[in-house]
Amino acid sequence: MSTPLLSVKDMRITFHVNGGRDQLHAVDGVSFDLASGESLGIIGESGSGKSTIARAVLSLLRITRGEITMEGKTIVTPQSPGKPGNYGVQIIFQDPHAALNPRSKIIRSLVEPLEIQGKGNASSRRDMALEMLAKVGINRALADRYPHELSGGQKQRINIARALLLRPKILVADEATAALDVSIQADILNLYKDLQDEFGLSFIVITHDLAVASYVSDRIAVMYLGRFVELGPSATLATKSAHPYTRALMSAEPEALPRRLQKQDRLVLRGEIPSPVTPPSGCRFRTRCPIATDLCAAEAPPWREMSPGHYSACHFAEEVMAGKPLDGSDKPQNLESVK
Amino acid sequence: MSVLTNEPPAVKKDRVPTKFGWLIRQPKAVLSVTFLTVLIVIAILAPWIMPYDPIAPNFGALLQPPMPGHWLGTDDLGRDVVSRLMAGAGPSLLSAFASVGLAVVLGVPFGLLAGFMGGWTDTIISRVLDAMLSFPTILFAVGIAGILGPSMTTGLVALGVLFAPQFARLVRARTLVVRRELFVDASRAFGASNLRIIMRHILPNAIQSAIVHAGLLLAIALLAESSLSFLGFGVQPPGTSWGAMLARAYAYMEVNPFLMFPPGIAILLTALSFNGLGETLRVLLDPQSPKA
Repeated sequence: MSTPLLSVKDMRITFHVNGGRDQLHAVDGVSFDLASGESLGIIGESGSGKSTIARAVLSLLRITRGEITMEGKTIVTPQSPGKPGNYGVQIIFQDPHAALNPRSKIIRSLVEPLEIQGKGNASSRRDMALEMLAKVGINRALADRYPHELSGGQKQRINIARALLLRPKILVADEATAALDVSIQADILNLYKDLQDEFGLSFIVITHDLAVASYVSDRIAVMYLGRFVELGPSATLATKSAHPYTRALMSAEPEALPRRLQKQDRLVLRGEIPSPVTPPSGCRFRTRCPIATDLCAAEAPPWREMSPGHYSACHFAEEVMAGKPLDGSDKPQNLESVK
Repeated sequence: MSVLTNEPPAVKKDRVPTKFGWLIRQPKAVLSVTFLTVLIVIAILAPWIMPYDPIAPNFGALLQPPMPGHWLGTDDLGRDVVSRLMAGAGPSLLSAFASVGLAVVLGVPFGLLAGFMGGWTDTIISRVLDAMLSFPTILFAVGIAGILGPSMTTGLVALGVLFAPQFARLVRARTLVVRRELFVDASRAFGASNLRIIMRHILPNAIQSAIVHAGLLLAIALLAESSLSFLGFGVQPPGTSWGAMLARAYAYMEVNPFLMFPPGIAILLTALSFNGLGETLRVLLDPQSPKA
């Protein structure tokens, strides 16, 4: 395989909490590659570390271990944090309104990345910005408005246009549709696809919405408590997932069907995501896993390739993949006994 | 390319609100601005339009009540009160503007720095501010004026230095909030420097309360200058300011109580106008407050 566009190797991101006394590994040993033109979805619950990955890839925060390379060149290490904005990665944030300075007119926010990177002069910057507005489907008359005068969907398109002005190779969408109406979400997701065709962009789509992830992503990584638990092609994850957590996420997806027509085997996870300051021993998911055994508490499951390009971190990945029921019915142990 | 276009709705062109249009419909703003403009014009033109010499005594007409020729009467040395009000307007306004201006120039950068950098920088700056804020302003100004020798310049420098922590505090508090805003992260993601983030994103979003406070402080500075002059630490005789006039009037309260009203009312109206001006400026500079 040729050199990936972006490669994250064994990345760890540590925060100091409780006045510096405790360490929190928000991301703990995550590795992934992103090919040119590919879309990678990262899904997981709140607090699993998805957005932290996004910020690290942008060099908005320092990593404590590992490295990030872009086209084979090392750009971020713990010793030399990357310079944001100059290696072809840009980000779209969750809240389209908060991402725009309320006291700047749209045009002023739009030309800012060009100003910072010293591209063009005042009038050519304006032209570039207006052209990009047209590409994301925004009337140029809105350029002289203030953010509070526009709708959420319009603002998110403006944020996308602004991020694209620096011609990034990778666009990170950090829950970029979560704050929008469903109909606008669809527009924005379709816009991603159009932009991907036009600019040859690669996407990292961070979301907790499975439908969003599977719609736009070629591959999906499932994250739990700072680690990837499964990574594979979207279709494989939907039909032959090899991790109980992925199965639980899939079955938690609401179905627009009457109850009698819904699939019976809905797996509801109990409890909260544990504190990342003191993660469970062995497999981090074991405290909520319906099929956890003593082995899971003793040993962290290795990251194994189940089929080409499909990885899972579960001791029972084969059985889960083969469709083992996850209600604990074939096993005397249940959630309580593992604790 | 096929982008779904669901916007924008046509821009309504029948009503174009302008800032000036909004301004002239605010009675408080119109009154404040008009009053201050007239006052500044008078202060500048005072040497030419004063009916009498404000420092030449006239012992034939001491402590006169208002009458034709002397519309606001004369003071204890027979000097025309109208002329002295005009002559005192300049020093009074100047010291108010200069001390508040100095306070803004000193206070805002420290507030931005403390709020933006956090950590030790913030701790040190904040403790110094606490220490300064715990001094009684006027008393400290009197102390400084006493050490450096009484003059208008030392008085207003002392006031400026003592007002600065208030601005630093206000701006620091807002900076702490604004620096965590998403648009700051967005700017950083484009590679913006700290200086750019502070000037472009933090300052415009953190300065509002400082603007309103400047309006309030101008009024307070005017009164503080009066107090300093009243205590003899401001404008020195035979020069004059409203505060100095008030001080002299006080001495003759029982002989001619009317003498206190002209400078007192001038101070009051000017202070009110400064307040109105600060509030108006804040609304004017906020794109989100309705101006229609």
